[in-house]
Amino acid sequence: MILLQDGFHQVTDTPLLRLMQLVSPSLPVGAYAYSQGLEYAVSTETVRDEATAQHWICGVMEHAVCRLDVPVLMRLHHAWHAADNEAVEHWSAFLHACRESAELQAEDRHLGAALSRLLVSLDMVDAKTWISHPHTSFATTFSLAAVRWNIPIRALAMGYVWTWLENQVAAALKLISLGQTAGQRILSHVIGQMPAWVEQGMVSRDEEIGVFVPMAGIFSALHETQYSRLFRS
Amino acid sequence: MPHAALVAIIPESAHAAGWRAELALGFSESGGRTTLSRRRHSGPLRVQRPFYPELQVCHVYILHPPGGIVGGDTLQIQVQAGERAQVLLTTPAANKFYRSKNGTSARLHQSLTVEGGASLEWFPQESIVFDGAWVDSVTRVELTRDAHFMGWEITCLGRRAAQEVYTQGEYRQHFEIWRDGRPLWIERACVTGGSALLGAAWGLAGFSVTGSFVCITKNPGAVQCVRDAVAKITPSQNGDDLFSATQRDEVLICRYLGHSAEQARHYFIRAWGVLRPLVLERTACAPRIWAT
Repeated sequence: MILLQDGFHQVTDTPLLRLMQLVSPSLPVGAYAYSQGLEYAVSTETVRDEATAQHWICGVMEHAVCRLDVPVLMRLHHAWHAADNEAVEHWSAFLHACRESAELQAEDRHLGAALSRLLVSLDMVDAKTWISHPHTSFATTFSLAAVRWNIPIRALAMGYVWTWLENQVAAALKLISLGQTAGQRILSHVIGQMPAWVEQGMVSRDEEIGVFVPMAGIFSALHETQYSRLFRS
Repeated sequence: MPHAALVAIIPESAHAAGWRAELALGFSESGGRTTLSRRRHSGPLRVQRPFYPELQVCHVYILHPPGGIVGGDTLQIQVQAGERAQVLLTTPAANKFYRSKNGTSARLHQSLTVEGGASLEWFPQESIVFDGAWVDSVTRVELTRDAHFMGWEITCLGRRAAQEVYTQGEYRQHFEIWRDGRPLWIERACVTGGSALLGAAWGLAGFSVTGSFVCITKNPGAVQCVRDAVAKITPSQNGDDLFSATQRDEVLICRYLGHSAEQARHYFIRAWGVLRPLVLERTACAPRIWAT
């Protein structure tokens, strides 16, 4: 249980189960509909096999998800914990300002709204504002759930990145017809790197937060006009 | 020109203390005309007198006569477009960031404030980052209410013409637009010389020139106009460079990735040609200096 290390003694069974509930692919938010530019990368044959898929996923995870989403998630968690609504608003707006394309922004808004709706129906009333908030995001509502369900901050960060990773691997399997075992090999490889990347994101200073994956950003924008698409991003 | 020669022409004394240059410009509008009403400078940053190739818009060229910036130098540019002022800024020459001898950063901080009803068009030449340069570059735009902004930043990493790749150093560039204290657009590049990002398929993929042209607009048809206009330049995305356009709420973003700052400008000027009438209700009027 390395991922729960620093909060291990506080983690009772319930927060762990809550985390599993949040990161499960059966969480009804519709994340499976998004590829974040991976579909365009496949159409240009930039991603074409297990090795190139792994390379792409690792690069975007390290340089986008862990440099932007993770540190913002940390700040949102603190903000929810401190009931600092102004900070929740600020970091949610910041995340939107960093999204590189209309599709990526729409995806985040869709996931944030869907998770808010779900949380409200699980009696988490303060998620209600974020169903239709213009800056709602997956990180905003994911961190709210984590605070209410006592999920430790490090486990929250690992869980958030894990849902992204699992979804990307599932998209890759669909797009380039890799076998399930190849998917598990990619997951195993990334698990070896991920704790260090997430750790780096967790300790970022405010001025270091941001994303720079130029080709992935361009591909995401070009995907918006791709002729034939399976995915919404 | 060989790299060593360029470094050699900078006096040693400049390395030690570093140049410090500041330029502050204020524009105000009165009776439909915008004037450069305030200007203050220290160190080697200047402006020429404004040009008025079109009646309402004040065109100003920002000059940095040394052209090059080394580790320890700080260049600070502050622009304030007062209410209803209509301003276009450009530069006649690229900024060159030279190799830093001891790993200290060169700083370029540009703060652009645009007040209600005003518009600022920001079209500098590219920044050329020499191998071994350490750079901290910030362009921060602050908008009030309905202020307009469109502008670009273009960066060349290494000098491809001299077969020079960016193998050492660190290039950080922030390009941000805020409105009434809320972030609208944030791009933060961070490239370490010789790192995987330079060659990675998800990163720069071996390309040396990146550019972003950002335009604040709520017109939902703007992005399609840009795509159509630029498609006339190149029908293919499989060539030597890539161009994309996307529109998130009120921010339209064009991106370039390739090998040529001139080609980046070519795309962006074409995009400007269709955006300016849509957003500012006037036809594009290129600064005279672009023709030379």
